[in-house]
Amino acid sequence: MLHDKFLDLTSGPIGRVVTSEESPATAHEFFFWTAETEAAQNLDIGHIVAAESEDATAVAVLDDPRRYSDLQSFLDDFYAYDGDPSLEALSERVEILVFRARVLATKHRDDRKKSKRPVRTGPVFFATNAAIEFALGTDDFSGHRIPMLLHENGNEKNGSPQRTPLYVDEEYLLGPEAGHLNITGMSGLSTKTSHALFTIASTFQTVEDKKVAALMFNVKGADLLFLDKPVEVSAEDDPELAERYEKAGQRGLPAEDREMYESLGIEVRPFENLRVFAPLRYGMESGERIVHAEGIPARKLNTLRRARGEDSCVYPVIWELGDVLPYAGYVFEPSDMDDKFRGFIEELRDRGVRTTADFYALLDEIEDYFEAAREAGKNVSSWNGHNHMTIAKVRNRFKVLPNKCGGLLAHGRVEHGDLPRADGPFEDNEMRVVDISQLTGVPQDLIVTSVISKIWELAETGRLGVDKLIIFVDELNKYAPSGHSRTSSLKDTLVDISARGRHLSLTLFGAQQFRSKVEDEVIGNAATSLYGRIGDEELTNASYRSFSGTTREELLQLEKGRLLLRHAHYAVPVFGRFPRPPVLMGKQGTDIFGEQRGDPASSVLAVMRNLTAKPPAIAAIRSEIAGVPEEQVYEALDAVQAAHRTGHGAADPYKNFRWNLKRPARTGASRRDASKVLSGLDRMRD
Amino acid sequence: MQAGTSVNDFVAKISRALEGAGRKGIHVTSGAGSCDLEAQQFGNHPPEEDEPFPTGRPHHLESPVGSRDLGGHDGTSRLCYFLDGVQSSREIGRIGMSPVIVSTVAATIVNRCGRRFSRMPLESPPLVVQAVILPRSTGDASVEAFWELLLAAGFSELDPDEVPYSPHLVLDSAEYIAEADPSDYVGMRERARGRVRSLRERLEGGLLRRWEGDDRVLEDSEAWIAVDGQLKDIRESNRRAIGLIKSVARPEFVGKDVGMLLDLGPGMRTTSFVPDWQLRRDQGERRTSWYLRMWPPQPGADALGSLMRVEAPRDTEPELIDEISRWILAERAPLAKPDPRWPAMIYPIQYVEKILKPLAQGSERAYARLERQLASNGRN
Repeated sequence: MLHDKFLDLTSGPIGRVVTSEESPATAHEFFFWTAETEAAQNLDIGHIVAAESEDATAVAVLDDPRRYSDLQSFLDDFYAYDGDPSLEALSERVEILVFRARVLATKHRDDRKKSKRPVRTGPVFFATNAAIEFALGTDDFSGHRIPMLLHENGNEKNGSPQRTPLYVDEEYLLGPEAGHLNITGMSGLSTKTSHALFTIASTFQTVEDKKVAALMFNVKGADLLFLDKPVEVSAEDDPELAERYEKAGQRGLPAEDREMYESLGIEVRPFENLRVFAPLRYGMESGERIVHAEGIPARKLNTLRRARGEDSCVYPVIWELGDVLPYAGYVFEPSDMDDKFRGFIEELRDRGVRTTADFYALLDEIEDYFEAAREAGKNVSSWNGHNHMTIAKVRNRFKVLPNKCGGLLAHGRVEHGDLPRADGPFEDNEMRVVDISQLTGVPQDLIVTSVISKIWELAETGRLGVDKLIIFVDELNKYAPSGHSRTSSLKDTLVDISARGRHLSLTLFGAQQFRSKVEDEVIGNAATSLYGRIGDEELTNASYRSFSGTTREELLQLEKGRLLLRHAHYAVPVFGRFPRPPVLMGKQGTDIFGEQRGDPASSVLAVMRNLTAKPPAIAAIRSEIAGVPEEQVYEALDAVQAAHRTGHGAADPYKNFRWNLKRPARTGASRRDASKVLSGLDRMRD
Repeated sequence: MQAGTSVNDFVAKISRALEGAGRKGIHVTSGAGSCDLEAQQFGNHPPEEDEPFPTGRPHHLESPVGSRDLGGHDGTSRLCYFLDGVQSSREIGRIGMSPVIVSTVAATIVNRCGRRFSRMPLESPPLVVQAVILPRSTGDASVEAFWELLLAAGFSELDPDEVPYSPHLVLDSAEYIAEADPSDYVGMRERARGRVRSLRERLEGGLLRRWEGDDRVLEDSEAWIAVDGQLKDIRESNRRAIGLIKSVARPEFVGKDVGMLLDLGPGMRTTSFVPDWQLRRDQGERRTSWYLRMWPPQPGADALGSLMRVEAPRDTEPELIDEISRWILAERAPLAKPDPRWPAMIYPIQYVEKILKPLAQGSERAYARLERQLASNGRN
């Protein structure tokens, strides 16, 4: 044997390579019939085996099993059994099970040489971990090995299938050699988001020598809003929380998933640095001339993560008019967007009109101009080249802007201060989620387009704040549809990211149900692709032409948690599984951490738990707030949280809260300033 | 024994003998290419099914003579072992007018357990025997000299009636022919083919003897063996063997009994008998025979189609004949297709043939080397 370590000699030969005139062994595939041993009875599609040529060992993935007999017609069998299916013949007709094995890689006996010679007739063995890792090209990886799936082979070790992580090369996933990941699969069945989360967690834990962050958009319910929460809680550590987990039906990871994590070398832990961004709920905009974003509590945001104590990582997305104007084409009807309308919008931008208040002030100014002209007896029909009808049309259309923008738009100027922004730089291992689940149509598209475009600008100017940023975009067929006639600035940006992103530290993790309906450039630039269950209409598309018939049949009925992986280093795609992500997803998040109907003291406790390692006892809190109006308690609490969100939180947040409580009613701004001062004093003292 | 290795050894020995022949001035002429004797028709029936031409009325063992309805079968059988052999032979050249024939015979017994087959390993005789066949007894000095060279190269002779013990033999095709004509090239080829057949039969006979004495068989008194072809060389004590002759060239019956045979319906048997030609032999060689119709008439077949002649030990009782017949009928599934003889063949026998055929066909590469060596002698 040329490479003992590649062959599972414990299981022994599981078949024999066979060639014929019609089906010779080639450099890229061979056939073998299977033995009748117990080990061989486990053989199935996707398993990996090894066989030898004269000077090399080939490692191959199984495909296309066929069972042959020497009967030439089904009728012969029918007649033999006299049409009686229950008849048990004395002899079993000889049948052989033949697999096609598609060669992943070949290793020459001399490490300095390469070989593509077809295997010759001889025994076939299960491939060992070492063989699989070699075949996946891990020896040639230039970056970190990021586990993406787990391959389970047909041979067993210690009672479990032999498991081998399917690694992808960091430099081919995140750049610069190649980049991007694309996931295809039916909605609800293919676990695209779950796998994206798993891959991001895997990347964060594996690539430790670089700063990596991720951006995702939450489009459904509370799916991605509690990614900082563990999948299970020990009753010993926190009995009350454990009980809430139990009530919500969240029982943690099954043992099998835990074993998979162990095999993959990944820890089961949530994203520690989660930030959620959400727009205001419609009607929550105060109309103030200056809006202090840091003072906007999560309760006013359009998100399901707004319970007190759980909202310290939730930040607003709020824009001035000046942020919306560049996307006028998204907001206004195409029939309204004629050259004159566009021209006036450009005028607004050139004049630096940033806020709605500024806009209306300008319109008043224009109105005064026309009024003065009328009084002077002049026949003036335009201002600055803009016809008064155009201006009237703009005024009319801008009236519904707040409604169209669904809570995104502030009336006045927005002061963000030091508050993190959805389109701002990132921190290491930050998981940034922009919650657009409560929006539809225009505001949803607006946020996605704006955030991605601004982040692209940051990348181009080297201001991302991290070495690598992963952007997950679902529904790529909606945002980057195929066809030249369907274009948008977001599509252009996504195409740009696909083409150049790997050089600018941006990686696109794209997902869609219909790969064939996504722009070719976006798909084609993804060096790594994953396929979950795919519908039959989609599979008939030319995009899947390179898969064998058996692989396509497998994709039609692929179970949850199993995917087909294609990567730059792999000669042939490989099936693998992945465990559930190590985070709380979906409705359980709101069930466990949603708004509780508790007393104010419970809310204070919940907040303090998040802000300090030593929260006060509930009895002490009750005693502290006894006799204080509820509204006052919550105002004091909001001020403490607001200070912490901007990084100016007091060292002792409970002390800060008690100080806020005792002061007479102040405006939100003064309470905030007071908190900042107090935190400053605390720091000086400490 | 690995077939490939054996063929290479066989050819290597012949090659050494040929080198010696060259040195001694014995010219072995190369043919135009290996000539497969089995592919040529020397008679009207396949060689493995040769039977002596029946001359008279058989001795009927049951009366009245006629057909017997077996009433179907219950799907069971006590047939657990199946024996068959295969042969192939080819002419590789000539010494003068004398053909030089090389042959391969193989035989084995398979055991059926739980509906699956496995070869029954026996220490002897060998699974595969290869032989060079020369008409030594014609008196040609060159042939005699070549015979000696073959012995020197490692071939063994075989005594009359001896069971083959060595995998490489040299056989005399003219041994039992008085005053064989050395110029009768066609006749010598025919006799060589007959020698190959008898070699196979001896090999099968040796196997059967071994089976009879095997502990596994002795311990299981219910297990029977079915042999492809006539039941030769069985011990008198062996009451658990049957022979299945699947090609009925000419019926053993005469007169109106032939009509009864031709009209025999599927699933029915004839009354038992001893063939006329066996009556002229020792008692020990007589067998109880009967015909069994396996299937309804098949397209393109004549009235003898689907007929099988079964041989059982002498004095097998009618009740047991019925039971054995039912076992055979139960073997109709699965069909012995795609073998063209399937209507009168049972699947286990077809299986044994299938696993033996590759062994008998030998390595074309090895024989091609031999032909090149002969051709390079320059007397083509």
